[in-house]
Amino acid sequence: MDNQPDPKKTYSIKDYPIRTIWLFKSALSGGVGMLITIVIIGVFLVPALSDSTDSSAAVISIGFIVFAVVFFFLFGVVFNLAILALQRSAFSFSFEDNFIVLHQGIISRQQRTIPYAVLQDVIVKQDLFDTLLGLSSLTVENAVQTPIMGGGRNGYQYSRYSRNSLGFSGNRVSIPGLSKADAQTLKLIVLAKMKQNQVHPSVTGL
Amino acid sequence: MSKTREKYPLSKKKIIKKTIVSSIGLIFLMGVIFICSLSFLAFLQNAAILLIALIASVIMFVVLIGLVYYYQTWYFATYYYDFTDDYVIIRKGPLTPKEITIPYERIQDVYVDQDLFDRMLGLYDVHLSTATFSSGMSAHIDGVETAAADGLRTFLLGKVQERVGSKNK
Repeated sequence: MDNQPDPKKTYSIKDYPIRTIWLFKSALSGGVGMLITIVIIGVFLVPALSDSTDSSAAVISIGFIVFAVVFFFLFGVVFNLAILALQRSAFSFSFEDNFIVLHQGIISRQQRTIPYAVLQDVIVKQDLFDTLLGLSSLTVENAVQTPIMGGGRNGYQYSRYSRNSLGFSGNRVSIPGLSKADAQTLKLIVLAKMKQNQVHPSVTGL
Repeated sequence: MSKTREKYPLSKKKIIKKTIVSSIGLIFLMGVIFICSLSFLAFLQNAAILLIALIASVIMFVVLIGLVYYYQTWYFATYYYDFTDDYVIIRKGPLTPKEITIPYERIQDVYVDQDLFDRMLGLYDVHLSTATFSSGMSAHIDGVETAAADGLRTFLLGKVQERVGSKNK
């Protein structure tokens, strides 16, 4: 493993893949949140249902609801998993000499080329389950202005979901589900290429 | 512990500050819960249950504050910042680490501020930002004392001037 990444070489997703375990983690953690909500609602519904005069009918209806919840949960997780798997297979990145070239999109394809000179920062992060599974998420950002959603608190631009999703959007490129070592290696590669591709002295920082 | 952190260290008072802020938040929350359950407790008209509830909530409060203090100590220990030759690395968070790397050329500004509790304890919060919004939110070193804050600020501004300013001449 080279200590100093070679800024001249091209690095692509083939060498630094998104791990399959991330698909499961992402689908499940999305599903678990939904499940907890349903359980909390269910806890309030059960006493209301058990008020009915016929006790056996109450048991059947509760059983039916439990079955429906579990079924929809599993269906939701499997559906989520399928979408994520498709997104992953449609996504590709390539760190070339002067640009990052990215492709994404299941139905409508998008291609993006970002020069290293305009990249602002590199972020590597892990959420709770990522830490347990040994995954990391790599994000690079450029200076594109994005519309501010959800008004109120000044500049809270992204929902938590879009921050961790796979691909490029607005001013950032997010690659979640990399192994910890791969994420660190890619970070060093990007930083080396950024250094290699400095802006000319007439422009400050941007 | 990086060389930068040895030279411009984080103050231990930061742990206390964070614990105090959490305690106040917790007191407020428990106050709200207490007020909401007041009508329910009055209806019971049983002094014994009231006393037990009071003692239980005090114990719970102490336990939670203890947990918060422990977590803040852990956070303090794993807080990493380093000024290398080419970029600044800041890594925070024991359970969900987030690491941001900013090359000196991209730093747009450096600012230092204090919130109310910082002022009471003599702490500062040194912020960096680039042209993106999220860097402004996550690239900061908070809980340093005066000497370290001034040192960090001077060092960063010096580095930025060296990388960006001199090229304009």
